[in-house]
Amino acid sequence: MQSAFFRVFLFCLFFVASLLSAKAQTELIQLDPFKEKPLIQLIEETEKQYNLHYFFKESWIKDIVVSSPERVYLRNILLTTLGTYGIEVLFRENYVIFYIKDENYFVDPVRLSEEVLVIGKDKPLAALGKEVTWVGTVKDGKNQAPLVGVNVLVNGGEGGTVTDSQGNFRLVLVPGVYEVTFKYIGYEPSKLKVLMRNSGKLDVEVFERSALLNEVTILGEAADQNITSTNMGTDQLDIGTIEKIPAFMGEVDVIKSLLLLPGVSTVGEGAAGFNVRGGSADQNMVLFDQSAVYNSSHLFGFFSNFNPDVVDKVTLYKGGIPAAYGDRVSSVLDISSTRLTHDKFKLRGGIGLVTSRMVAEVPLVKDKSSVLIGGRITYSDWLLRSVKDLDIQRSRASFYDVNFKWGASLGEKDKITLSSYLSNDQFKFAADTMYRWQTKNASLSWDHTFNPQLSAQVVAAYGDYFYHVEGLVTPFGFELTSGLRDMSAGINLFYTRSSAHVFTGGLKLNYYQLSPGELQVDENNSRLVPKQLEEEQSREMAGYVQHEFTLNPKISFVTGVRYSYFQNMGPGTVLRYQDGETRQQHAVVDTLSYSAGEPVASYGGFEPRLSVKYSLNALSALKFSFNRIRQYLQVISNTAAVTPVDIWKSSDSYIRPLLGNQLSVGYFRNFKNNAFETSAEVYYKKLENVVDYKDGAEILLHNAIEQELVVGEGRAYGLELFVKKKTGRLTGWTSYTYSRSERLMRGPYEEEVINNGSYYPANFDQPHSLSVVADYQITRRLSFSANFVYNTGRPVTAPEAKFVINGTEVAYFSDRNQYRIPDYHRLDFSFTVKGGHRKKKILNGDWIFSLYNVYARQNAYSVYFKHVEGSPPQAYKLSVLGTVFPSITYNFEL
Amino acid sequence: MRSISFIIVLLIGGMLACVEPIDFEARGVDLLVVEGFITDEQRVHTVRVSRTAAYSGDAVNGITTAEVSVVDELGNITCLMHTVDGIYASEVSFAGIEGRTYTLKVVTPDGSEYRSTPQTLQAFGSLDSVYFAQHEREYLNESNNVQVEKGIQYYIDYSVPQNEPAYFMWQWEATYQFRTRYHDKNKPLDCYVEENSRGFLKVANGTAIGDTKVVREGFMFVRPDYQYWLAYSLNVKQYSISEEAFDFYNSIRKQQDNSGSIFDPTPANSTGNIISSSNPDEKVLGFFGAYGATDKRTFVHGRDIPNLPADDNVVNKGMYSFCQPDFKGSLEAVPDFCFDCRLRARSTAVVPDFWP
Repeated sequence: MQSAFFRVFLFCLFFVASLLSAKAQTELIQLDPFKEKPLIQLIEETEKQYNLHYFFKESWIKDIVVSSPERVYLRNILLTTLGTYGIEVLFRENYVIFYIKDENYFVDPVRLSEEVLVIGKDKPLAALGKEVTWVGTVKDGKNQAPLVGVNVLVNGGEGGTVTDSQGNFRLVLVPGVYEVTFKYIGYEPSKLKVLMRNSGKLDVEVFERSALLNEVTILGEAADQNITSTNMGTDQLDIGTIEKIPAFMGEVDVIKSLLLLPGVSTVGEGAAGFNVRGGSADQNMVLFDQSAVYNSSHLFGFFSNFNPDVVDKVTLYKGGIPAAYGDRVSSVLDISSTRLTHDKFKLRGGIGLVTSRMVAEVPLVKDKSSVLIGGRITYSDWLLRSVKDLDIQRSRASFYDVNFKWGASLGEKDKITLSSYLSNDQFKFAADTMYRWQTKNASLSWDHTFNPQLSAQVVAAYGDYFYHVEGLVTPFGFELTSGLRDMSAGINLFYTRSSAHVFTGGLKLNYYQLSPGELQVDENNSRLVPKQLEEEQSREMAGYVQHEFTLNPKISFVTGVRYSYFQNMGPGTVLRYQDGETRQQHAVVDTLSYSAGEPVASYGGFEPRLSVKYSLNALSALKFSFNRIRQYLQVISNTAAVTPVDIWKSSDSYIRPLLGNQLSVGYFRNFKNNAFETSAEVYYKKLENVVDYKDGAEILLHNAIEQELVVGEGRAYGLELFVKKKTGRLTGWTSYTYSRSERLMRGPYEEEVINNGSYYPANFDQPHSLSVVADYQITRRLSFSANFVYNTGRPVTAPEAKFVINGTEVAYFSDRNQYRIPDYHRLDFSFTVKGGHRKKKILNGDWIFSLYNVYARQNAYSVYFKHVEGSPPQAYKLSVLGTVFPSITYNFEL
Repeated sequence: MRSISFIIVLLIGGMLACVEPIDFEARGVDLLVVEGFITDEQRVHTVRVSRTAAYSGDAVNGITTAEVSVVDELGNITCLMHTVDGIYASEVSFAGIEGRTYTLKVVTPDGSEYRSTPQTLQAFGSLDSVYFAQHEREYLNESNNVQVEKGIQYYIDYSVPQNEPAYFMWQWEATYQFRTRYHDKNKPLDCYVEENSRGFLKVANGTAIGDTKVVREGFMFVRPDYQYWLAYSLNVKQYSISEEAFDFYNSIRKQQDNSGSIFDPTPANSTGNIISSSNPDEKVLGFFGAYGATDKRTFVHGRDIPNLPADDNVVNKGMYSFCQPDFKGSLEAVPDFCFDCRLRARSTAVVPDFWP
C-alpha cells in the first residue's frame, strides 16, 4: 500500500511532532453543525481557518463524507470517522497526522467499494490480539423474523458458528477485517465485510431468494464462493460484467460473452451457438427463466437473441452439473431475467447502431405485483446495403424480440411469476427466398414456503421453435417448415434439515412435438413435389434427488441422482432393414406402422452426479466432480456451425440417446483477501452414440435420416487455467484452455467408417485458447475495457490432389478434419462514460464507445479451395469482420 | 432452392469481401483415375486413364500404356487404344445396346487390373426441344455498381418417365461459323469450328419432379463473343444415367458449390465405381458409365441478336479483334487463321450436315 519512503516520512513526522511540547490547542477546536461534505473539504477549511497542517495519503480518505447535526470537536469527528476505516489520528500542536497502526485494521476506501460493517464503532480500538466479541441476531429482512440455524462463516470457513433457537449468534475474534458470510437455505447468501474494532452488537438481515432485495446490503455471491462452494465447472456472469465487454457493433451479447470463459469456444466469428468442453452446440441446454430455448440467435448468429436489459444473471454449468438439470450432455446455460421489485416505475433502454431496445417495469400493486415489458428491434438493413453483393443489397433483414413478465407476491409465503419471450427473425434474400424463424418461450412458476426449512416450486414451461423458408420464384415456389415444441411441468422441493444437510428433489414431465420438415407447394404454380416428413411425438419423465452434505468445514459433498425415461411414440412408421446390410434404401425390407400413443422406442437410465470439496485451508480447496447425462433430442446438421434451419430430431429406433460422462478435478486458490481467484481444472468427457454424417449426406427432408448417419463415440479432455481479479480499479480475468475433442466412427460397414476407424478431430477441436478481459475504472464515471482472444484454428478437410471428370477439375480430399485454418486472435476496446449519479437527475445516460478488432486482424473465417479458370486451383482464406469496427451505443435509465 | 450457406457466405463474405489466397500445405497423394462412358449412339467412345495431380499443380498425368477394354455380359470385348494424354478410344464406331450390361477393364503398365462395377445401359426420357431467348442479367462490378450484362439464355424442354427413377446428365457441343479475315480466293471464306462443354456439369434427379414434362428449364447463360458473330449451333446432349452415376456427378457438383464455410457440409470425396481386382482396399477414382443419349440442336444467327455480341473481343464492321493489325499497321503478329480459317483448331471448311 504505502511505499517504504512514505513510512519513513511518517516516522520522521512523529519524531518531530513529539518534540513539540506545548499543550495541544488543536484538540479543543470545535466545529459548528454542518451538512454532508467530503472529508477533504473539511480538512481544507480547517487547515485555513485554524492554520493546521494535515498529513495523510489522499487515497485513504478519498470517498469519505462527514456531517454533524450539532456542534462537535474536530478531534472527535476525525477519530470516529477515520476509526471506521482503520485510520488513526495523531494531534501535535497544529499538526494533524493520519496513520495506519496495523494493516489488519485498515479498510482502503478505494479498494473496497462495498459497505463495511464496523463492530465496536463507538468504542476505542481494542488492543492488538485481544479477543473481542460480536453478538447479533440474524433476521429475515422482510418480516424481521429471527432465523434459526443460519450458517455464519468467517473468511470462508476459518471459523464460524450457527444461529441458535432465537436466531442469535456470537463470534469471538481478534480485531481486524473479516469477511463474514450468512448462509441460509432459500435465502440469498449475505457476505459482509466486517471491521472488528471492539466488542459490539449488530443485527444482520438476510433476504429470501428472488424476494425484494436491498441493493446496498446484498453483495451478491460471496467473494470466496469459488473455494467454499462444492460447485466446480461453473461460471457466473452478471449483466454488469457482460455489458462492459466490448461487443461487435456495440450490441451487448449474452451468448458471445461466454466465449471469453475457459472451456467455451465457437467455430467462427458471427456463428450462432457455442461449444463447451468439446461438445457440439446442440449439447448445451439454454434456459431462459426455466424454459428451454432451441435457437438463440438473430441474423444467422451475428447477434444473440436475448435483450440485455431484461437479463439479470447468466450461469454456465460446464461440469459437476446439478442433478436438477439434464437432457443436454455438455452444459447448462441458465439465464434469469430481471427480478421484479414491485416498488416503482422503471424505464431503461438503449440506442445502438443495429438495434434499439426499451424495457419498462410497472408496479401494479405496490410491493405486491408488477409487470415488465421489454422489446428490441433492428434496423440492420443499412448493414446489408454496404455488402458488396447485389443479392445481399436487395435483401432485407428484420428481427425483434419481446419480453413480458408478471410477478406477484401472494402473502409472505407465495410468489407467482409468469415469464414469456418471443424472438422473430425475417430475412428476405434478394427477390427469391424468404426466411423466417421464431422462438417462443413461456414459463409459469409458483414458489411456496412451507416453513423456513421447506419450500417448493411448481413450474410449467413452454418452448417453441419454428422456421419457414419460402421460395418466391415461379415455377419453383415452395414453403418449407420445420420446428419443434416442448411442453413441460415439474415440481422442485428444497429442504434444509440443518446447515449441514440440504436436500433438493423434483419431478419433471416433458412432451415434445417435432416436425422434421414439410415442403408445401402450390400445385398450379410450382413444379416441385410436395413432401411431408412424419411428425414425431415423444415424452420424457425425469426425477432427481440431491443431498448437499457438509461433513465438516473442510469436506463437503453434493451427491445426486437423476433418472430419466424417454419414449418416442406413434403415430409413425419405421423402416426395417435387411439383417446384415447397411441402412440404405435398397436394404429396406419392411415398414412398421405405429398407432397414436404406441411406443416406438423407449430409453432410460440413471444419471449419477457427485461433487466433493476438500478445503486445504481458508484460501484453497480441491474439488472433484462426476456427472452422467442422457440427451434425447439432437440437431441433425452436417455443417460446422448452427444455422437457423437446423433440424431437431428425437431419439428413435435407430438414433439412440446421446450419453455423456464427465469427470473433473480442480484446484482453487484465492489470494489477497479474495481479491484474486485462481483455479486449475482438468476434465475428461466420454460421449456415446454420437452421430456424424456419411460422405455427401443429404439431410434435408430425408424421411429415413438414419440412412445418412453414422454413429460412434466421442472423447474430450482438457485443462483450464483461470485467474480473476475481482476488486480494485482494475478488474478482469485471464483464462487459458488446452482442450481436445475427437470422434471415433467405426461402424460395421465401409460407409460407416470415417478416417479408417481412428479418432479424428471434431469440427470445433481448438486445442489452445487464451482470453484476457480487463476493465479499468478511470474515474467513477469513466471506464476502459479491453479483451484479447486467441485460439487455434478449427480443423478442415483439405484437398490433397486433383483429377478431371468430364473436363471438370475435381479435388480429392483428405481424411476428415486433418488440416486447420490459421489461428484466430483479436483485440477489442471499449470506453464507457457513465451519466452523473446525482439522485435528482431524471434521466441517467451512459455512452459506450467500442472498437472491435482493434488491429484489424484478418482472421480466417474459413479456408476454401477453388479453381478459377485460367490459373491452378488455390486455397483461399475468407475473413469476416476483417477490419476494425467502431460503434457507439447510448443506454439510459429513468 | 438457394442454400442457406450460399446466403450466409454472401452476407458475411460480402461484408468485407476479404478473400485472399493463402499457402496451404497438404500432403500429396497419387491415385489412379479412370473416367469415361459409352452410350447408345453410333460413335467412337473414349475413356481416360490417368493419375491424380498435385492440387495446385499442372493438369492431368495421363497414363499412355494401359490396356483398356469394354466387356459386355455376353463376353464381347471392345478394345480401346491410346490416343493422347491418357485418352483411349475405340478403334471403330460402335453403339451400346439398351438393356445390356457393360464393364470397363483397365490393366495398368505395372500389370495391376482394375474393373468398373457392371453398368446396365438404360435409355429413358427424351429431350424435346432446345431454344434460347435474349436475356439481361444484373451483376455488381468491382466498384460495387450495378451493371447489366446482356446475353443469351438457353432453355430445354424434356420428358421424364413417370413413377420410376430417372436421372439425367447433360453436356453440350457446339459449332460456329468462322470467317477468314484476310481472304483470297485460294482459301475458303468460311469454316466451321467445334467447341464443347468442358467444365460444364448439369445433372437432375427426375424423380423429384412431379411432372412428366419439364418445360423451359434454364440450361445455360452465355455472353456471346465472336463465335456468335455469324452463326452458332448448340447441340445439347441428354444422357439417361443410373442413380449411382447421378450420385457421383452430383457429389462433384456439390463440391464445386462448396465454399468451405462453416455453413457448408464437410467436403466429401466422390465414390466412383472402379475397383482394383488385386487389392480391393486400393482407392481408385473415377466412374465408368453406360448411358442412353438423345440430343437436340438450336441455331443462333448473329443477325437474330442485333445488339449482340458487344464484347471487346468482337470488333464492329466484321473484324475479329484478334485479327486487327497492330498500331503500326503491321500484320506480323496476327494469327495465321485470320488468313486461312482452316488453320483454327478443330476447324473444317466442309459445311456440316446440320448446317441450315
